Amino acid sequence: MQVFKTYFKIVKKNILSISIYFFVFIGISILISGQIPESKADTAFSSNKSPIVIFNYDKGSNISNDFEKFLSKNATIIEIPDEVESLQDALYFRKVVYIVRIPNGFGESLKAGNDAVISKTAISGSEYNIYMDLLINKYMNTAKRYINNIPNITNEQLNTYLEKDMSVEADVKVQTFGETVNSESNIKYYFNYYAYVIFAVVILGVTTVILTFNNSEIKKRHLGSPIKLSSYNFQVILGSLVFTLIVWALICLLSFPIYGSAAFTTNTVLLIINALIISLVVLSISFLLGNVMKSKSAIDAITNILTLGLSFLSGVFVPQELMSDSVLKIASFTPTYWYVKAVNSITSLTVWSSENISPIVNYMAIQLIFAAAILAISLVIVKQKRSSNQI
Amino acid sequence: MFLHIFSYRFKCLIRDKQAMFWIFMFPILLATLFKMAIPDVGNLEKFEPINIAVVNNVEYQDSDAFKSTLSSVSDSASESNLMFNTKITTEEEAKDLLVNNKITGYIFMDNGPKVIVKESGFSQTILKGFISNYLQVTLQYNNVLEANPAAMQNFLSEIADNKSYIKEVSNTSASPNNSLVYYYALIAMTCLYGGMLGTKEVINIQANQTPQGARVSLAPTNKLKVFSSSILAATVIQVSIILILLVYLKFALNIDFGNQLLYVLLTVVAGSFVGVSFGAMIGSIIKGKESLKLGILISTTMMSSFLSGMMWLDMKYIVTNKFPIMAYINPANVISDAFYALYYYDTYTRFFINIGILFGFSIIFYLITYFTMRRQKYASI
Repeated sequence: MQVFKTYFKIVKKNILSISIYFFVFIGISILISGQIPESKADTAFSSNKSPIVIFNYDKGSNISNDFEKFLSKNATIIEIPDEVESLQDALYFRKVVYIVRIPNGFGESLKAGNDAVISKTAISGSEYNIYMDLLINKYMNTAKRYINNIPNITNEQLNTYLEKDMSVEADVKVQTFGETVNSESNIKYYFNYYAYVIFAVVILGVTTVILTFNNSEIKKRHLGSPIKLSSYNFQVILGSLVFTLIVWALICLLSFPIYGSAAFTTNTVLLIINALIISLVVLSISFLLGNVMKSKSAIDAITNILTLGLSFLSGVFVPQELMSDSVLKIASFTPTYWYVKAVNSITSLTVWSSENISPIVNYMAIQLIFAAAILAISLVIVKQKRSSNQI
Repeated sequence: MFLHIFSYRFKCLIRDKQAMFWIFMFPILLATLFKMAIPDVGNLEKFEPINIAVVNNVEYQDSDAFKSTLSSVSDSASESNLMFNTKITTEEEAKDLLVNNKITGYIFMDNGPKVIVKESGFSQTILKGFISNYLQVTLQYNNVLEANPAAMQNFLSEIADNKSYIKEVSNTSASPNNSLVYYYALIAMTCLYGGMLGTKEVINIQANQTPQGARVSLAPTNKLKVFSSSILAATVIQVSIILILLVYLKFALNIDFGNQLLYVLLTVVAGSFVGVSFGAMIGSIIKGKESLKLGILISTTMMSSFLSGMMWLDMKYIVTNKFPIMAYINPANVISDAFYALYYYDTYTRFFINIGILFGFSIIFYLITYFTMRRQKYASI
């Protein structure tokens, strides 16, 4: 097994550059897993609360204070100091989507029948904007109607009426139709990003070694050594396979400490199998690249284009449901598209029926076909190279 | 002499396929991918009338108040009030539409309106808010009737005439389109990739790195003179590359940079200076082979692009708010922040602070380069 041993000696020499992607990936995954809140599949309806900021400059008025209370029940209140730049930044990065300012004297002028307006800053045309406008105007119109139609209404009475009215809510039923429920776990992102990492790490690792072996002088020396060509090839392939499996196993194992109990589900088993399949696709791609490409710098270029291109196109970074249909059509010609599709289906899988599982099996089969096709192409090329005496 | 070196270094650099790929082709490819994959946030959040259905049963037929309330925000409503595209169907049809995702939910009248949806979400919340509003007005009607029956006429007319109590105030003329952060970070990355040219210029006058360096060291010319003319060639190439990238972003991909052309140019020049000088510094302080220097350059560039939001938009906000110092010493973030400030703020203070920091960086980087390289002698190479 000299060739096999040499394979890992070369890997060891390049371990630093190969592992950079690996560590960056783990770092990003840990960061993101803490940032995105888990949404649970639920049969009870829960209203979406928009993050908003309220500046109440009318603290002296009960009407304004009650209004502030009403808003804090119907939206998530974010504390940000009233400075133009920090507010603008927060709005830009959607940390808040609506900024409400209750001007001094608002409560009094509403009561007196003067023009009372609240100023807002929002993302114009957005759905948050429409919804918050609806909420605020509803409250104000209701309050105003009480003030106009019940003479001498006291602030306390007004508040009692408003509180009672606003607590009435429509009856909403969530009906599931015996299919999968939309549940999202952060582990989905982990396995989506897996596609990017495995591409970067395996292509880099495998091509580096194959390129070294393909160096024409080294190759001539190998051909002159008393070892069968088939055994030599077998060992190179075995080395690549073992290398890929190590990377696969490491990343999958790490999902357990990062995600804890969320990772200990039967769905994770399917995710890990799916990850293994895309790893085989990557292995065959690396094999092809290693045998076609001649220089390290060309491989670096191709690796980056390929990994980033496939990742962006097929929904590794940006969720597929946000992408346009035409892009997805193009993406369906890539193996990663099917990988991501499988990950999405697996993570939303709750009912283990053959009806739900069979599309997942299909997605995996498509990936395997990709792997087989690419491997076939690279074997033809290797064969051709040998028969045309290009060493 | 100055011109001679300048023109030859210029030719050498633009014929360097590897560097040109990374600085010129790669960002353009990446930008194209961004454009394809990153959805236009403006469209994503934009409010579209929500598709709903109402089950046409006896109670619905009899409820004139509900019918008129619904139609005031449905199909026949004016564009500013339009909230729902309403279909009137049988219960079976409504269910079918919901299963096939044709509607967000449907309303079923059974002792008052009930809403049936498939999942929680924003459109569903709006639908719920609308129905709640209807119920609340009904309750208020009863309250007013009880307290002051005489006011009923006036109350009913007020219901029909809802007023708006909101005034929109904006601090900026630009729309907060946050997908731009990706492109700004991409430009920043390209600026820093220009460091490759800087590194190449440095190893080109270091006698232990290249044969050219050995030859240049022998020549009876001031090294600073040689270096400054070749680094100028690198900067000129870098500025032109970024300009081409900007033209591509602006005209082929329709990315908005605001309208202040001169300020955009200033940012490009400042960014290119930082990039090239950063590369020169890395090239001079890292002892080792060219591949090591370039490797370190590229990995630091990637790291700073990541921290400025190139792979994950929220990163920029997190860094700016949790580690403000990090935001100011990360050159990629300062470059992208300059573009951001230019696009989004109506004042120029933050923009000029960024530009100042960028030029400050280049000066520091060049000084470090100068002090490490000056009087370098080689006993043996």
